[in-house]
Amino acid sequence: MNALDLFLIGLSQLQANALRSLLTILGITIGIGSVIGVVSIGEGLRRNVVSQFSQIGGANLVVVQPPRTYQIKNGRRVPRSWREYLTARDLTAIGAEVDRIRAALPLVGWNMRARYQKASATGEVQGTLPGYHQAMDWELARGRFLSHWDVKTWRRVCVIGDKIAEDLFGSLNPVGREVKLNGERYTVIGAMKPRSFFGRDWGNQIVVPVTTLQKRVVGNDYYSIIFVYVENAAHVKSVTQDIRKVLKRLHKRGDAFRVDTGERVLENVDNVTLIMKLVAGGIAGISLMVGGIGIMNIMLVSVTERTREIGIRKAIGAKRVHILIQFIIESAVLSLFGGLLGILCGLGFGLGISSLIEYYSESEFPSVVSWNAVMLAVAISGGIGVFFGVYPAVRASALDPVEALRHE
Amino acid sequence: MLNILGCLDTPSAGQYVLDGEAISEMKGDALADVRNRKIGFVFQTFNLLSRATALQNVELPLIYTGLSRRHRRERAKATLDRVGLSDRMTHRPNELSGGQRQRVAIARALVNEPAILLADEPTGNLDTRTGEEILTIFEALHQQGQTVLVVTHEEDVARRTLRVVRLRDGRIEQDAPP
Repeated sequence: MNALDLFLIGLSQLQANALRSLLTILGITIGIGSVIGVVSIGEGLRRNVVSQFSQIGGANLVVVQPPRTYQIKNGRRVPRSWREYLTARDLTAIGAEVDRIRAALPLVGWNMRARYQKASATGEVQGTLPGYHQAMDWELARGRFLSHWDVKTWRRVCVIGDKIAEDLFGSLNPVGREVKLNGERYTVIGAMKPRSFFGRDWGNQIVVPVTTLQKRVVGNDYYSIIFVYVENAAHVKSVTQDIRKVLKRLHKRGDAFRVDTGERVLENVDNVTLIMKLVAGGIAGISLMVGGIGIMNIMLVSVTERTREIGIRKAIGAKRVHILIQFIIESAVLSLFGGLLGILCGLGFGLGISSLIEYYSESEFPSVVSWNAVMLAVAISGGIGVFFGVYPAVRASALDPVEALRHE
Repeated sequence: MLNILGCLDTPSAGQYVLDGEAISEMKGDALADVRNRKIGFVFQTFNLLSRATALQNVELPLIYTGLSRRHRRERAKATLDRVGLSDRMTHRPNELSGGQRQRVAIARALVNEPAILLADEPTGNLDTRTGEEILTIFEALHQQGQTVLVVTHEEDVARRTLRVVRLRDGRIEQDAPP
């Protein structure tokens, strides 16, 4: 008696009671389906974040930000009594003292009204250094990006995003024309191609030399952020530590500065998906339990219904173990079908949700088939079938052949 | 009585030796093994598996013997041929007449070449003509050297055997040729 025989016997039984079998496995299907669906969406979310993140340097990126200006006390935001800022001193020190970095780029953000003749638009003005567009993987459409000379001499030049270019200049070539930012004239030296990041459009950016923004507009020499690009993702940890050391030496409260890595962002995503998975796991657990009990119930019914068959099988020489295995396999096959159906439903669900997200967020959101999850689902559904099939099968195998043959 | 002879049950007193094996000492699975190898059952109500084809029904004992698929199929086919049903192999019991069903059951009983064929009122659910067919098969088998034991209420059936054991209220009343 081999496994295939047993499997076929089990299958034929389920076929014989197709509707009943289908209803019985619904619990298993829902349980497995919810897990597969959520895992597939969660994995999609992760990939989405990873792919967006890798566009701006991803795993090689370390983001340095000044301490928050508030702290959380009893759930409320309370302003801090002190302030610390990132300045050119930090940038220089990081560039000089931290090894294995490719570039360190500061950023100052400021919103300004941009005008050209009668047209106007709100621009997200970013003060930075040459190299910013390469690091951010943002391509030039026309003209050139900032030069060191621009920075050194605080020149009033700017590079504009595609939305600004369209709003102000329409179909005109913006390069060489002058825009007014807060009333001052800036020469457009370049225009960027469209770019978005985590659903945020970069088209409204106006990039100017960081010095120009600091000296001519903001009036201080603080940076909002310093992006540090590490040569090799493997060195992110040591670079992070080195940066912290520099900050600690240069500032009284160097500890309070925020030094985040791509990994940290991924960790946050992982935490979110973990919670999703746990919730789905809870639903799945309950529904698998219910499904398992349903299977046990139907198997008990089946044993009673087929008492005579069991008697016949025993009369012609089936041993206890043969009957036991037959019924356990039957219940495992039943549960496995529930699981497979659940996998299909879950994948369909994941695909549906991720294409919805893709549609609304306008970013790539893949529905990922996690083979680990699929294998696990198969194993769990099979396992449930076996577990809840044992008792009915034991009952079947323990039947007395004489009694069983007499059963009507 | 038939349950004990068929190794479905063990006697509470006395001994039962079948083909040199002390059956009365045996239990559960050992009995199942003896039933599988040495006993062929033919029941009044046929007791075929309704969802299985004639061929699958006949193969069933061989599954528990542990024979390979190919050998099972060969032997089951040959045995169905012996009872004249080689053209009904893929039919299910509900597509067969009573006589044909009983012949399938006989084939199932024979397929493992048992030491003894036990028939419990084999003609009880059949009309006279079909019953006659079945008895003819039994006689043919007997002539080929198969031990056949028939339990019956019908004198007609009993008269066609070589030895009649009359039981009344669980006791042997008579043991003689008819």
